[in-house]
Amino acid sequence: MNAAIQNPLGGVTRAATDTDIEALLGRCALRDAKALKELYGLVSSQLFGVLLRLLRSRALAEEALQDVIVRVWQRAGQFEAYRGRGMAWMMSIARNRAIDLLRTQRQTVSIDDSDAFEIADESGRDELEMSATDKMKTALGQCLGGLSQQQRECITLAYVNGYSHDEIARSVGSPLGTVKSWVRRGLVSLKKCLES
Amino acid sequence: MKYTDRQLLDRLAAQYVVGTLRGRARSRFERICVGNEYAMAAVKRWEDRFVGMLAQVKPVQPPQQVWSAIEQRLGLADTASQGFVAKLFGFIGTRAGAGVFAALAVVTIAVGMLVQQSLRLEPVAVIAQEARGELWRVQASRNAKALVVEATASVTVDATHSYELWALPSSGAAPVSLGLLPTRGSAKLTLTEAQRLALSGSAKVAVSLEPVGGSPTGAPTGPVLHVADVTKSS
Repeated sequence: MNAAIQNPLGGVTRAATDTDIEALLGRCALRDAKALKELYGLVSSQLFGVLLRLLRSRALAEEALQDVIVRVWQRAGQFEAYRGRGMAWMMSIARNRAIDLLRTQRQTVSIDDSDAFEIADESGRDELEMSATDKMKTALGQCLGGLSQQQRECITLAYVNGYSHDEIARSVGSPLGTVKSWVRRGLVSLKKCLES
Repeated sequence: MKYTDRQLLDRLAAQYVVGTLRGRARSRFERICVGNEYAMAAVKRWEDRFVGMLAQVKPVQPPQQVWSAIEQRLGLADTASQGFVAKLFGFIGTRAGAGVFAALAVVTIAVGMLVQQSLRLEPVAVIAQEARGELWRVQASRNAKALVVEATASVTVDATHSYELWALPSSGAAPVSLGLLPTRGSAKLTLTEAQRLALSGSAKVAVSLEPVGGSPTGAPTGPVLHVADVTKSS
């Protein structure tokens, strides 16, 4: 089952499936350190890519990745939390850690004059392009395609780039109240579409 | 705000997952989730809906020092590359090791013969689950050559799976199988020298769900159902 998983430090050789991830998490719960290393080899690049995008700083993303893997090891015994959804579970740990770090960082750094912000903005545009091309492939893609362009852009900036309402407003150049309602209504429409 | 309102909880869960619920509101919602199954399930649903979007973010290989730092923080640096059993056999392979091992074997056999006459059992672990109470009582013969496992009526019989018992060495080495657990009545699991050593070096045991007949790989392959403390005998 794990034959295709190669040297953990040699990079991702294929897409990680939830079944692989769940089996490795189960072994982590048994304090099998080799399983953690295999798991790291399988998912660290994806997690690191997402953390970089959210945190816009290599140093912070490296720190966050450490925290995430330590937490995964500590919580591997919570089988109910990740059964059938290993990647979603790890990504949620990663996103929550990043949002926590963003909060503490904002208290010390002013984001208005951050160069990193502009860089992230640019890569955010690529993302929107990509999600548009992905539109037909998945239910989520299709439902996102059904939102207004503003709703889709706001939700993507929030989820993929980790922008707060304020940051989205600044990025798209619209008033805060308008942005909040785009996000809110977009989520309501998404839910309706995904449940239909 | 009334947190019993499911629609409200669902809206909060969506904003939480998408990341626009921030600051104190975020912390408050996290606290609500702890005791609220509906809120927790709503968060999971939104996480599962959105996670596909992250597959489009370009993966980036983290620098090697991140893994080294993780190993250090978790104290895994030595155990990850060499398992406990491998180390043991490495030791036995040396001439001094072989001598010690032979002497040990003689001593344990002698002690074993003495104790076997009384055949007293000592508690090893009780595997239980909060909702269902005790599931298995694991005891060892005084010489630790065998485990006697008794299944309680709370064990669910599953014709397509076996329950496998594992020793979890405190050294962090890979789990060592101790055998299959009975679903009814009791069973005797005879231990090999390696299993006995693994158990004596373990503070915990675990039960995993495996295909009928046990793990085909020698390592746990199915979900881990229970972890229990090993009772320290005096």
